[in-house]
Amino acid sequence: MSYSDLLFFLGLLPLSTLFSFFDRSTEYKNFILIITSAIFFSWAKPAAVCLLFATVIAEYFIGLGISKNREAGSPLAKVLLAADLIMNAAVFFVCAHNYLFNEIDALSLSQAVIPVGAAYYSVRGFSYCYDVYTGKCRAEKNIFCLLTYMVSYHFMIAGPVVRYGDMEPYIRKRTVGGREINEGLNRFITGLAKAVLLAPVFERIKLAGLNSDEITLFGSWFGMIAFFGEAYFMLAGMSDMARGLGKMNGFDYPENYRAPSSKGLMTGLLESFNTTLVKFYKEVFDGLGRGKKALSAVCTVLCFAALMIWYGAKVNFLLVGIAVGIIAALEKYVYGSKLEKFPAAVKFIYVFIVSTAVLGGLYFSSLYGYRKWLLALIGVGTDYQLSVAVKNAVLNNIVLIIIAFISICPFIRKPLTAAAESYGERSARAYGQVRICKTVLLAAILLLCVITQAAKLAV
Amino acid sequence: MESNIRNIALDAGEENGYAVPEECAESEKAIGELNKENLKAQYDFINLITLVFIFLCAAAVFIIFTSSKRYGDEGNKFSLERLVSGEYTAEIQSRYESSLPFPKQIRWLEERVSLIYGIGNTISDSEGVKEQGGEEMPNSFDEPEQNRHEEKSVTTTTAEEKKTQTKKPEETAPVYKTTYKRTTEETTTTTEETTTVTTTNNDAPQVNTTVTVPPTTEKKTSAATTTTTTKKQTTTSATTTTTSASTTSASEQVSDESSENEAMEE
Repeated sequence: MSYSDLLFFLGLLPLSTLFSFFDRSTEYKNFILIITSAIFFSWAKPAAVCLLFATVIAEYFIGLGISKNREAGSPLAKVLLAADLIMNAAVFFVCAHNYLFNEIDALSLSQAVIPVGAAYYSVRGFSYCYDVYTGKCRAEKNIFCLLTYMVSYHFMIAGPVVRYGDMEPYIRKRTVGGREINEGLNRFITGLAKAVLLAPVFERIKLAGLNSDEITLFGSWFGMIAFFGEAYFMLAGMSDMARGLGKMNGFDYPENYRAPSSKGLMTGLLESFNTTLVKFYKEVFDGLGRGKKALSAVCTVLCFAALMIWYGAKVNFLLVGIAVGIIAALEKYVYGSKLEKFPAAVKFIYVFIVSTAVLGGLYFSSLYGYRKWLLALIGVGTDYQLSVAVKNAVLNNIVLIIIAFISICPFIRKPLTAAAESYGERSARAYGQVRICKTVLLAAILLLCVITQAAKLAV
Repeated sequence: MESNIRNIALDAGEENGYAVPEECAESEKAIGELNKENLKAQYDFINLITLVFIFLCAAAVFIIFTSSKRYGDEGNKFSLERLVSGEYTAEIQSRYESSLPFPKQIRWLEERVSLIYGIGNTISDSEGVKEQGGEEMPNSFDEPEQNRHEEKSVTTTTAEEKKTQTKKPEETAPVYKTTYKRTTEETTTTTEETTTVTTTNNDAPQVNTTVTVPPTTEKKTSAATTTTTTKKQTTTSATTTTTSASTTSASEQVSDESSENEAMEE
């Protein structure tokens, strides 16, 4: 099951929200959340996938052990943290990247039993024990609170990586009223539109542009930009839906996907994508560096390599991660401060070219394809400049492309929202007009998403 | 004591030296903020009601107007074993997705709506396939045996079929050739395989085929059978270009009418 499935947002979500209102107590709301998460997690899969949640018991005892030994100054705390890392790494590789074990029968699982969201689940588990080890949060003595944090379906698929210390106050006490539901619904619908309406547009352009039967100059550029666009809008959409779901249940999750920007150079661009995960990884690896420049640089490289492995346990992901890590280390310790003084246009060109060339390696599983595409970027080996397929893919979806562009460009989006706000402040009537327009727009987007998803199934 | 009590007339404040203080500017500001908050709450409520209404209407339409029962009937009986194994919920999902109400109307609506997404979108035919310049799903830059995207396995097949058809115009596409040689029952099977090839993300490939009929030894019966089969296969080929559902129904027609012919001949 996914957030964009009709059965989820027209079935499970309304029922779950309705049931959670039957009692005001936070314990009851946590109970409903756990039940809904179990249903979401095991839908159309064997109930045995819920055995993954048994790791919560291990996390609970490891957390208590780390806390006790840390206070006593015992090195056993490090040992327990390492054990937790190994356990979560095992869950991560076996469940999230099971294709690595295709030839090992004992570990190879069929697609039907692979639990969804195992990657984020394992990060969540390790982040809890890490925070207990570093003293950022105390070990939880109520296992049901920890269970609520670990199994919550809100951020099962696309994050954000919420730390236990940030979520604990909401787990213990939260209120859900009309305002929270309203904000949550708005956010959910926005995310749904990104995933259902915008991401498929970029997928079509990607497939038209990155076509080895018809290699063109503009197709190579547009295709790769569309590859990034598809990944961004799909994951950002899922993350927005997660924030909306959380808001409807009284949780306030951090922003996980910022608009791509060249402000922080390449490092800033990488940090704007899956912000909470990057932040956690940087925190862990920077802790290993501890002030020494050379060691910190190595840790930066390792951090981004590990981050890319998290996305895909494949050779090309590892190589791209190492390359990105080297660039991030160079920016931090060599030329970053000098480059910051350049005009914004120069920084933009630098980030655009470097990110396209380096991150484009994620798309290809062989150096052959990657090299072929790199040469096509400068016109080598291309049949012509622009193919009919790419032209049609762009023109047929130009309105959605413009909307997508506006949504991620702050220098267009901010003046528009500021103009609407200033108009709304003129009078109560003007404010009403602005609000009604927003409501009509959201309703139209919701209907479009429902029709699009239903049309995919109505074959 | 009582003499100390004086009635103070507010109207005569100035005459008595008591100035009535003017309203504080900050209190006006606070009142303005409160009014804004109230206004915001009102429109938040309208927004919430509107969106919840749409959610509930859509949910109700997709539950009430179904073409088949989903829960608890013989095909999907509830049992603890089936629930634990995931079969029960998988069947519910499958039935929900396959029994959406008004499928033709939804597709019609989706095609009309997608006209506003850009320039040059057209609606192809009554079967409802949208043309987008006749583009097909391409391969990646990677060599074919290293293709790693799921849709590419589909597009590769489609592209190969099309390539086969363009290079050898007198031959049918592999699936249709096989279809012809088989009995009508096999025709149906082949068509079902075609159905599984088509993904929900891709548009149905534009496939034009010609069916050639080799001569057979049995003149009367086989000729009749051949004639019937040929005619129907042409129909099958044409409709395959549109949607897989159409293909299935056409092949069912083929199998029904061919079996009727065979029965009559017997």
